[in-house]
Amino acid sequence: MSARKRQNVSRRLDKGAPHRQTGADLTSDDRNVTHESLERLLSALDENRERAGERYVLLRRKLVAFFDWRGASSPEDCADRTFDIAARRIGEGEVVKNLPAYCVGIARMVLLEAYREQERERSALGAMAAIASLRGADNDERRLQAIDQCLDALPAENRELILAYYGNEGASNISTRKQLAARLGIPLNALRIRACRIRAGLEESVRAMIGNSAGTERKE
Amino acid sequence: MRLSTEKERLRLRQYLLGQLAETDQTHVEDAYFADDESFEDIEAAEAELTDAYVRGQLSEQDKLAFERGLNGSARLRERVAFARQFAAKIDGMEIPADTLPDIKRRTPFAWPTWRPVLVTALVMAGLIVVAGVGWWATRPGSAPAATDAKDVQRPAPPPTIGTPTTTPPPPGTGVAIAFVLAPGLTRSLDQAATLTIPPTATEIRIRLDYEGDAYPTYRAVIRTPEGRDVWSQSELIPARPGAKSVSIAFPAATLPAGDLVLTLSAIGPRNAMEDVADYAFRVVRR
Repeated sequence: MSARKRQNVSRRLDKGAPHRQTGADLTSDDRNVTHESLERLLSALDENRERAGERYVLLRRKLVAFFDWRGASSPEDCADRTFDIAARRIGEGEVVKNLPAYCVGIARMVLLEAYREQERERSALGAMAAIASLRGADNDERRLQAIDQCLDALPAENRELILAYYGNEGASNISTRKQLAARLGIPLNALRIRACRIRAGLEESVRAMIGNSAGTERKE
Repeated sequence: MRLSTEKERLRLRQYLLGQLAETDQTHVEDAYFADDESFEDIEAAEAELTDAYVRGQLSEQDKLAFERGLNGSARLRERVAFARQFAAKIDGMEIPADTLPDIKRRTPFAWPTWRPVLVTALVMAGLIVVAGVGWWATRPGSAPAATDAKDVQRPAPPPTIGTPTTTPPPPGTGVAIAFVLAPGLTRSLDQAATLTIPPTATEIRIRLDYEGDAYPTYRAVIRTPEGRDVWSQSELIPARPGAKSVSIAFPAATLPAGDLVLTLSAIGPRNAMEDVADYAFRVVRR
């Protein structure tokens, strides 16, 4: 969990303010979860507030991924709705020993609800997808520059690893990957996970940079 | 619990493509919600799937399934955009072989100095294993085994048809040899290209260019002129959709000296295997 996200979770709890507002202290991830809901969920996750915050962020990431992989059109909203339902039930007295497992059950019901909603909005969803792809084209130049900068900013060891792992036609070059794993003295799967972590960090940095530059342009 | 077998990785891929039955989907989901390592595995699987998509390495069926998901996911579209530009950028970069030793040197490794007895035992065990492997490799009648290259020399891009490219390796290291074969060579073995393989070669890479229609996947078979199979591989995918070349790689010890014929085939419109191109070449070992 990044320091920024940890700070945001703590700041929201300390201020005791509801979340349904924009503001510098809110991340886009948590804008729809109320303060009270967040408190209940964090308590159910861990007694230690810092650890609870980390587990909350990871659980939210899993829920967003679940809804996305299952084809929900608004995975983030569905994740927030799941958390709200779980928090409300905990507030009503339900004892939850395993919050992630509890959230999965709720998420599946939220997913069915989302499917029904998407059936009704199918034509509107098509228009939104077309707009999103146009926006993607505008971002290409910014993304390319961001990739360059973020690659340069990586520690040399990490940069060399992902270039060696993903270069040269990627996954079809399995022999190079095996050789790389042998040279590092780690199993191939460990190399795979290490490379994926570095790549995920790179993607996040690029996304943040594009988002920041887009925000700057909007202000201008 | 880390999912590391090929079968499990395939299962995650099928999950991401929406190809699993409902009960199997549930099992995958229960696993990654319960176990953070499982979630990391599936995130890694998604990155690899995205990479394969932008490189045109998915089968037609998987590509269609992936694009169905793409239509409904802004997050995945963003990942694809990143993957496309990332692949384009790094594919064009030369990665010097001598950077790889730097990664190894910086990998943290510390001897357990607080247990001298354990350290001694580990060293002795290691020496016994090394001696055993050495005996096994040199026992009478053992065939030369291909070993993993300690330091792969990246060959220069092949300049001409049938001409091998290689860089002289430093002593004691292995080397990958790359060739390019073009179609249109006759079955007359007198006109065949010659692949000269040095004793230090540990891997052979061949790029097969061809003409005519493009197919999603290919099968390559290397045979002696008498028809004995030497090597084969299916599910070969061109590097880019519509590209008229595929690459193959195998241990250098695979090819016997002498004349060989490589046949490239694919499943044609009538759902039957059709020959795409033949390549005749001669292997000479120095």
